[in-house]
Amino acid sequence: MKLIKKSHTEQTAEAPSAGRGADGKGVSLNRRAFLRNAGLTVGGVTLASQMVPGLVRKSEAATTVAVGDDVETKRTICGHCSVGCGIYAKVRDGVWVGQEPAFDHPFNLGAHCAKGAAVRDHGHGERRLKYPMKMVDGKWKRISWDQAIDEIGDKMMEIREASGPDSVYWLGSAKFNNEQAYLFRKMAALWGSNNVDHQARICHSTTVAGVANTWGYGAMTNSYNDMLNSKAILIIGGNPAEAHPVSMMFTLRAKEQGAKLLVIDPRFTRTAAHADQFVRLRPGSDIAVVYGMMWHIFENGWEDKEFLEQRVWGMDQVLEEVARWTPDEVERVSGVDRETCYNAAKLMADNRPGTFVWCMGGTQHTVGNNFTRAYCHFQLALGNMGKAGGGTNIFRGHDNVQGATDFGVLSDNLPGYYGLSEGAWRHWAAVWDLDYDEMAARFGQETYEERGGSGSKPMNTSGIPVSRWIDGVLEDREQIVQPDNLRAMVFWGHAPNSQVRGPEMKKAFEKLDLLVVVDPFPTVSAVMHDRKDNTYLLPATTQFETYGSVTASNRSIQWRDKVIEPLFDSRPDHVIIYKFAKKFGIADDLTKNIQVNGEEPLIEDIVREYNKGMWTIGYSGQSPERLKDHQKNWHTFNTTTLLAEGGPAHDEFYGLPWPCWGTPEFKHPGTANLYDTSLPVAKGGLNFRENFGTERDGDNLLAEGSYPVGAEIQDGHPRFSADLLKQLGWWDDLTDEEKVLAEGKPWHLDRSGGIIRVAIEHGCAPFGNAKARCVAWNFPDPVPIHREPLYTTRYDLVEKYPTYEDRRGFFRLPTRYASVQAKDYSNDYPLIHTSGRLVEYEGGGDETRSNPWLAELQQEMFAEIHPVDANNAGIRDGQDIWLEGPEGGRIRIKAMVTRRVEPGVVFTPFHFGGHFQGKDLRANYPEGSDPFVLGEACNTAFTYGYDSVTAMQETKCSLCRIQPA
Amino acid sequence: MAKMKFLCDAERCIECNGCVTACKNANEVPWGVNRRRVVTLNDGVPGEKSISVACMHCTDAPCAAVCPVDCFYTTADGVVLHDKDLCIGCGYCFYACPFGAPQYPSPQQRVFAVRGKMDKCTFCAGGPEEVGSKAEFDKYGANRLAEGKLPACAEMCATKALLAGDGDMLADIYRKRVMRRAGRPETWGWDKAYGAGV
Amino acid sequence: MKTRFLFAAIPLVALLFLLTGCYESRDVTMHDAGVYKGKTDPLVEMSADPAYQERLQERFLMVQTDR
Ligand code: SF4
Ligand code: SF4
Ligand code: SF4
Repeated sequence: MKLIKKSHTEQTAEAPSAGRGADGKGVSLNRRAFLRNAGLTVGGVTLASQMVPGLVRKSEAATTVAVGDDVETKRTICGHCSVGCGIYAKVRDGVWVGQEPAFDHPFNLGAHCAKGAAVRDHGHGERRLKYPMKMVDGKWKRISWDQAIDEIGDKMMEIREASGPDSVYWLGSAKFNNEQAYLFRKMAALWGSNNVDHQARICHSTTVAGVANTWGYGAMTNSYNDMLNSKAILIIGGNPAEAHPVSMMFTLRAKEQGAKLLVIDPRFTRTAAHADQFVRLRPGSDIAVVYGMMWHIFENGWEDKEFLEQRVWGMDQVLEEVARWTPDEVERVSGVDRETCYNAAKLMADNRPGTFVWCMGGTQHTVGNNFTRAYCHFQLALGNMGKAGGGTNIFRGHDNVQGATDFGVLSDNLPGYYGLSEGAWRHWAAVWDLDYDEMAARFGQETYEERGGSGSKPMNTSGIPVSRWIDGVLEDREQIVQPDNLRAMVFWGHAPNSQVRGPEMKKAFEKLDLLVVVDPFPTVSAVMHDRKDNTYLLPATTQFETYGSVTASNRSIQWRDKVIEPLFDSRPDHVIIYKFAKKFGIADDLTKNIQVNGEEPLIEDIVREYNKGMWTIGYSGQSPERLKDHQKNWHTFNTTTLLAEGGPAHDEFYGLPWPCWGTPEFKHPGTANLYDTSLPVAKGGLNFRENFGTERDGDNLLAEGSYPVGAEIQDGHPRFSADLLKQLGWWDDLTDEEKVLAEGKPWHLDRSGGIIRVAIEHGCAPFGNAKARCVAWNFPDPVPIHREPLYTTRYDLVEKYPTYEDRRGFFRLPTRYASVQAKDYSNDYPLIHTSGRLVEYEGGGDETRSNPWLAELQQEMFAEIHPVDANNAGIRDGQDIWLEGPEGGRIRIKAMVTRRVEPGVVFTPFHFGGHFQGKDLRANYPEGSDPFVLGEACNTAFTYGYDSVTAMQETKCSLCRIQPA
Repeated sequence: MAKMKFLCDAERCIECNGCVTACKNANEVPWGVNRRRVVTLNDGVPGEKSISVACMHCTDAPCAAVCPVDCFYTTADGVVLHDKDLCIGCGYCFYACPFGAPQYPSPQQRVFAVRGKMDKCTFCAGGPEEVGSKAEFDKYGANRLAEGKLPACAEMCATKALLAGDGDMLADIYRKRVMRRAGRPETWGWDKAYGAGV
Repeated sequence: MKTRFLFAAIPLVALLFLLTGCYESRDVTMHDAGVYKGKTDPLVEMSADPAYQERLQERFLMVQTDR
């Protein structure tokens, strides 16, 4: 070093006062800076356990440069959210040595968020559950797979004998690929129970129900890419900058092209930071705000009159309700003033087409189904549906929650949303080539009307939803519409800390006769209770250790390669499903049409089987061959339209987004934007579905004068069936073989696909052409209305906007509404408690908190508290606090004082687990399988409350109080 | 000859930390060492903006100027690198660096082969060892430039906010974006907080 | 009168004294780095090759442009 003085430069400008706003905003705290400091000790502990010697060994194993002839490239898809980002995985000698951005992938163009950029750590799996484990006298003991399946199977058969098949609960997962999801549902069916469900229940179930009951299908209508066509983007109850980061690439690019971004949320989120307009509302007051905007739209004549006339029924009844939401009432209920609401409405009216995005902030409410329908009505009023750049872009959560929902890992559905009617069961029995009566005999047969049952048999009644499993275990047996309580729970890829009512959940765990966890990680299910025996952990693989298809939020189906062989002693889910089936003696039925290699059912055969049954939503044209073609030709797809330009998939949409009508041979290109009449049905066009009849109260429910380009029926028409074909004189377009299967069938039960083919060849949508329906007469609130949450700070509004009456036999259980709301808790618990996501973690977080690259960035569970509330409670930034919910659940966490939330609202992230009411449970994990970062689950303090249609849990507005710890 | 630079478009950065974990992934950077960080201003209030920072590969690098053992060098592309065999881990470059880029792994962390020595962003260009060798990876991480690739952090950025490459080309892309935005503030509250047109 | 002046002067002097060192030089002092003493990096030579430069440029256009 030579300190030679080199030059004097005259500094001209004043030193920049970076970020110091006029009102002293520059001093605001940074979540990460705060956490990094706060987390030092935790990090230190973690660090020590990580460094010696695990990481050193690991890095030696993988420290080889990921280039060279001996490196293979696999194409896979990120497993952390529904955007479905493509990934190039570099593998040498079976070791995952590198990860390259997939620039040619049509969804992400190589981009990733923190989670996707860190997926290679799955190849290390340092903190994975490594072997089958069994709890013996409160200690974990390693056992073999055979022993595990034998013991669990025997115990289950014993429970089945004593209490019936409904006492075993099959809790599946959005982490399955499509084939595993389908096989899982089929296994539950063959076991003889509808007590099967997965996270979609607590994620977008209210969306699926609400949206499907409005216009036919309950899915995202357009795509992330299509947002490039939007002129306005409205995001309500969603924070894609953290939850779906790569979608922001499209949002921000659209914005650069002139689109306006409107964010409506109780929090000033990272997404809101990029908005043109941000509207802060009180949690749970979405109806007020959305109707408030509609009030201005109709007041000013901004609605799309032609669209409403041709394609919408029942808006007049909605308008009666909208009329009640005057600007004053909107402000009284939601806190949004007249001008703000007007500006928001005008922004959407002036900039069309506009898209409407919502996530969990809109779904997780006791009135979630009302919210989702009101959002739809808003889009219908502006005529934004069925257009590129418009639509309801409902961002799903997990990587395959769309697929797992489509494949009916649900207590109220069979694959393809066929429902649970006898017709539905007969359809699937035929697809499976099984005898219907034999299958029906495996179910319970009693109806329990005295307990609130509807009178239909268990096979035809919805099972207990995952949100209520606790009550299925704890509720008085005489109140449940099935023979006995739940006695065995199988948590197959599910984080219990994502569910509310922690203290009661602990009791439920302890009351179970059998607890089985099937997961790559032990999860909180393994540690939060004081069980001593009859508890098993079975290591499943991640999706990187197997292959198959996964459905992104936009309904595109993507094929994943297997990157590496299963790590440790883990098995892919479909292998474990097969093992159980074998033990129960149903393996031959399960795989009648599916080749089995050793114990592994062939994934491609599973696809071919469901292709033959999933006609309703068009999962029928996506053969494994077509899907693999798309996977190999990522680069040929246009990143705005998703249409392949040349190459083997020419003129097909990427991933054959469902509905991809008819058989694979029919070569339908998939449907990128739903209900878009500007395209012929054969090229991905569509109209609203006829799903609710052709007439209501003398009104015509069919579309009037609106039809897809090229349709031969140039008006609304009912759904197709053999009869309709005959009436139209199109019956003879069917081949002779098709006629055999089609005879007497409606379009969706015709297993030849012939009716669908003929309808589309005549330019018509097989499911009919109807109006969207704004009044869901089969729902508790036919027209969506506002109801106060069960636990509300605005008890003064309860009288005018009360919740529902208590119910019996709702998803087999008594369900409380009014009796909870009867008491005013807001004096003792004065703050609203709401929850949400962090970008580094996903879901219950076991997987991501076990990834050191992610865990390091977010080491502490915390609560965001406004300075006013913090000062009132005597809490300082960074301090340990107790947060307590009105049902008594309490969590000990760090305070993060910030203006991100408004006074009166406390926000907590929901990814933490492994602490329970102040107690660190690290010692309860099997050795070496504890995630790097543990923390209190916010849901421990969350409370009772379930949606009136789907039993979605309420996690977006509860109450709490805070005090220094 | 290219002049390698980073540019983080604050209008696009969403503080998702993709760049941070991409770096960890590509270079196997151990816990506690962060070659790249995302900094947020006005966190949680109107005007919130983030940028991602690492070593800026200064043309006249202050770290190199102060190094007592002269272990820094600059490649023809303008990438500032150093030799860990020579580095004594004194921390003087940490004083000098305006961005806090140099990092010092704790002595237990032997992952980077040499205890306690300075570690920093290499622009994914490895270090003074045989290109693509195990020794290079162990000490410095990946050498993507040699493979004809650009830094992992920029290549994986969620919104293409973070750009890395030749300074002129970066400026070109950035200018086009600014033009498309037509001076409209992209950050909510920016005009309110700082007056329109700022 | 005199004492009053004195009373005023003392704090002033004290203030001046206290403020010594509380200013920022507008002159930036920079120093030349010494001569690199470490091993040679083969990349330095590689990067002089125009083909290498071209490859990076192509990559840049593929990677960092909106498509
Ligand atoms: S988590 Fe979602 S946005 Fe992030 S990389 Fe994975 S798929 Fe992409
Ligand atoms: S250029 Fe490479 S080393 Fe530097 S921050 Fe980016 S990924 Fe890390
Ligand atoms: S990946 Fe891009 S958007 Fe995300 S924090 Fe880094 S620079 Fe910002």
